[in-house]
Amino acid sequence: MYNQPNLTFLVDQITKLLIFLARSPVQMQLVVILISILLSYGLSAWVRKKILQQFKTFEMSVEQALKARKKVAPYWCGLALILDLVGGVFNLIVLTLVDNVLTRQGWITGILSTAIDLLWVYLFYRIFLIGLCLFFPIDQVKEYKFYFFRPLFILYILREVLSLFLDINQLLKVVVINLFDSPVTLGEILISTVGLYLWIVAVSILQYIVLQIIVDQSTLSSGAFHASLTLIRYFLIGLGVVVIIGYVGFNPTAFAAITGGLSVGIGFGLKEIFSDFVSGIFLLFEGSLRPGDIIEIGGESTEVKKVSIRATTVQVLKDNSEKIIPNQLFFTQELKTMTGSDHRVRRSLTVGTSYNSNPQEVIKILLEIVDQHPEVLNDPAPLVYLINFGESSLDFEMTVWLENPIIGKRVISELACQIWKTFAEKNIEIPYPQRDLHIRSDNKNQVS
Amino acid sequence: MFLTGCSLKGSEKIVESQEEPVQGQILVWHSFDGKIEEIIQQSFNDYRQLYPNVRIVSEYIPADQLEQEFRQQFNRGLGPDILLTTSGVIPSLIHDNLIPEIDDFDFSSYLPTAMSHVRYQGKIYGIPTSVMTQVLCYNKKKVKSPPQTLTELLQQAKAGYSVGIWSTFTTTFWGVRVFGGKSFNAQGDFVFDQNSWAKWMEWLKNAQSEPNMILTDSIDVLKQAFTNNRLAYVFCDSSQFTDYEQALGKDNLGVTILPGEGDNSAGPILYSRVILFNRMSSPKQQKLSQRLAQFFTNREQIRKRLMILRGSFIPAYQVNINNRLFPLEAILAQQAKTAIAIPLDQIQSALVWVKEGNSLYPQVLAGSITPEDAAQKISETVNQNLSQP
Repeated sequence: MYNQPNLTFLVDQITKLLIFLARSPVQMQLVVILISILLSYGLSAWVRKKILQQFKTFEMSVEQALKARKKVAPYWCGLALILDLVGGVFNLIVLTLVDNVLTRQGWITGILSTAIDLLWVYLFYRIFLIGLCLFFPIDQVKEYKFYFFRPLFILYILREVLSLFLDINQLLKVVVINLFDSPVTLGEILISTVGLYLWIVAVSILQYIVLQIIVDQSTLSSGAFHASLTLIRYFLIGLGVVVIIGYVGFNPTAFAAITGGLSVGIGFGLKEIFSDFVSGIFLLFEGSLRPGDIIEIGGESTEVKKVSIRATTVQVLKDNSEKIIPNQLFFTQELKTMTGSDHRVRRSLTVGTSYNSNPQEVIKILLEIVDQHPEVLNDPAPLVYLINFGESSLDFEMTVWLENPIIGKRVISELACQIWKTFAEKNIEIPYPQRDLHIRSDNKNQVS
Repeated sequence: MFLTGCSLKGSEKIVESQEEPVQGQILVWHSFDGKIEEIIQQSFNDYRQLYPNVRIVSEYIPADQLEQEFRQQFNRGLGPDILLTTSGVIPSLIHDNLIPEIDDFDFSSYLPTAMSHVRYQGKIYGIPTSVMTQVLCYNKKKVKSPPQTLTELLQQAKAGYSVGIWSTFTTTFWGVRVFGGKSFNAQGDFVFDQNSWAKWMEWLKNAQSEPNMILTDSIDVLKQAFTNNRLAYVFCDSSQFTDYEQALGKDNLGVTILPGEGDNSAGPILYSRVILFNRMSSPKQQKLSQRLAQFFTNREQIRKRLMILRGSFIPAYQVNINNRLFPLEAILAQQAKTAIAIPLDQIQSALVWVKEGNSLYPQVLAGSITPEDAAQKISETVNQNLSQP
């Protein structure tokens, strides 16, 4: 009997609600709460308007912090707190006063008392959120509020309100559907959907907080730590899924059938995704690719921004665009990394001078220019060679070592500019291509 | 204007009104499970067949949580329209103004004992449904001739018949009358006979040294032992009959009156199951609830329940029952004649000395206080209570 979908319980609960709503003490309490909410909403809108008129830069500052992904100044946080709490506090005062007056008169006020308790929770929730803005960038707080804290708060309020007139534990045990001969209850559906969602978001928040606290304050390699955290995150998410499957208590036969079906699906339709997934695990475990690495793929120099389990996000250095590259490509294509075992990179510049110049002097000048550049490494030492007697010039190759591959182009440009300037000062000519023409007389004309 | 709508004064009495279409919703709380719950549900279904526009939501709340849950819900304006419970909770509910007085309901055919369990200071606050008392249950497969006296019971225990006694102050109170205790004085007030109680406790102290006499304060332990055929006798009440019959088999449960001694028979405490209403219910809900209660306690419904439960309770409503047809009920009725029915007006004071008794009872059995000293202390509490206005 208990394995059959049982919606009678839900109908009974709705009937109960109708019974209670027909009672005047309940109606009275609900009307008081509604009036209080409307009044406090109106007051809060008015106060907000006044404050914003007074502090005209407030909204702009918050907007800027949002765009710049920065924390909000404590001063503005205080103001935001006032704006946020004024309605709630007014509501609390009104409800508490009405509750006290009615209780003294011998009226029924149980629902009002519950509403007051919930208001306190709401106020602490708002204070908590504003407090977060002091420690974390406002865009992150807003994001996590939207995806995590608000749903969590709404769930809490729903639970408290529903438990006023029904037994939540019994509600969660209501069988909604039979799946593969296993009864699926409302609680199991909630846990496997909302619960799993909240768990995944909570793990992301945890990862973010750990990154903020530990990486910012330590000398750990950002890439390696990020990769480890990503793995831990996926492990925790996987653990959550396993725990939820255990809680829901799937019929083992049905579960085997589902996973069997999935295997076939993976074999055919999801082959690419599965391949990306496995590649992602190898990338994360091997540590061959980490956020911050400079790589060359598809003929473009890029910086690795994020290594995920399915794809890797890279930023193209040339135009600052971002590419999301499926992980398997890193195993099927040749990949050049500038930051594999050694972050240092070697760059070369070829310079031509006229045949009138003294090669020894040119080499000396070039070495001096290189030595003066602050971003050129002394070890390994820069080198200058005369490499060719060209058609129009003596060709020199200057080789320098840099700490960071990203700055290569800029440093070479700065060196080239300095060379041009120095050569001009020292009257060393950088020749245009020259061609000597030797005009010979026509044999036929001579004969005639 | 809406504040006047929930005035406490407006709904204190339930009054029958002019004929109106019977429709609406009612919430009922009870503490019955198993077969009794099914029977109650059957009564509600019968009612719905008569009045299809009435929807009845029936909820089970464990007995030990029922009163507390009701109070909690009442304070919000919620809670059931009908509460099926025992009469003992009525005074405290009246004291906190949670249940309305019942007016204009025909109680003429109800047992006087049952009515004394719903009448408080001259006003009636509930509708009794049945009267309950203790009897001696036994396993017919093990017992051929049940004992008539305490001496016989002890002899049978010595002979190897195991006896389970629900051992608390109130559930063993039946033995006081066996030792000559009087329950009421000339004014009809309940009295505590300390000498008889002390003698009874002395008997219990001696009996507990007998290996086959099992004294425990846990009814669940006794139930389990009896249904698993490990006990020959158990002291029970009619609410347990269905469970025992189900476990032992229909014809293997024997029921007899509690053992007496000489001319003195046992005097167990009698209590009633009652229907109470919620003062928070709207006038329409109260009318509807009273209609349902009237249907629930009508002659036909009582007969139907007696048939299904094989007469395992005493109806609060006077109905003619064939003793051959319902032997269980005949024994219950016989036991009820010598049972103690504490009137509701004296329940509050009884609760005070019962509390004292509950605390001293295990100490007496453990030997840390003599029965005489404990009886003296309980008497002092009773007297203090009587001297208070």
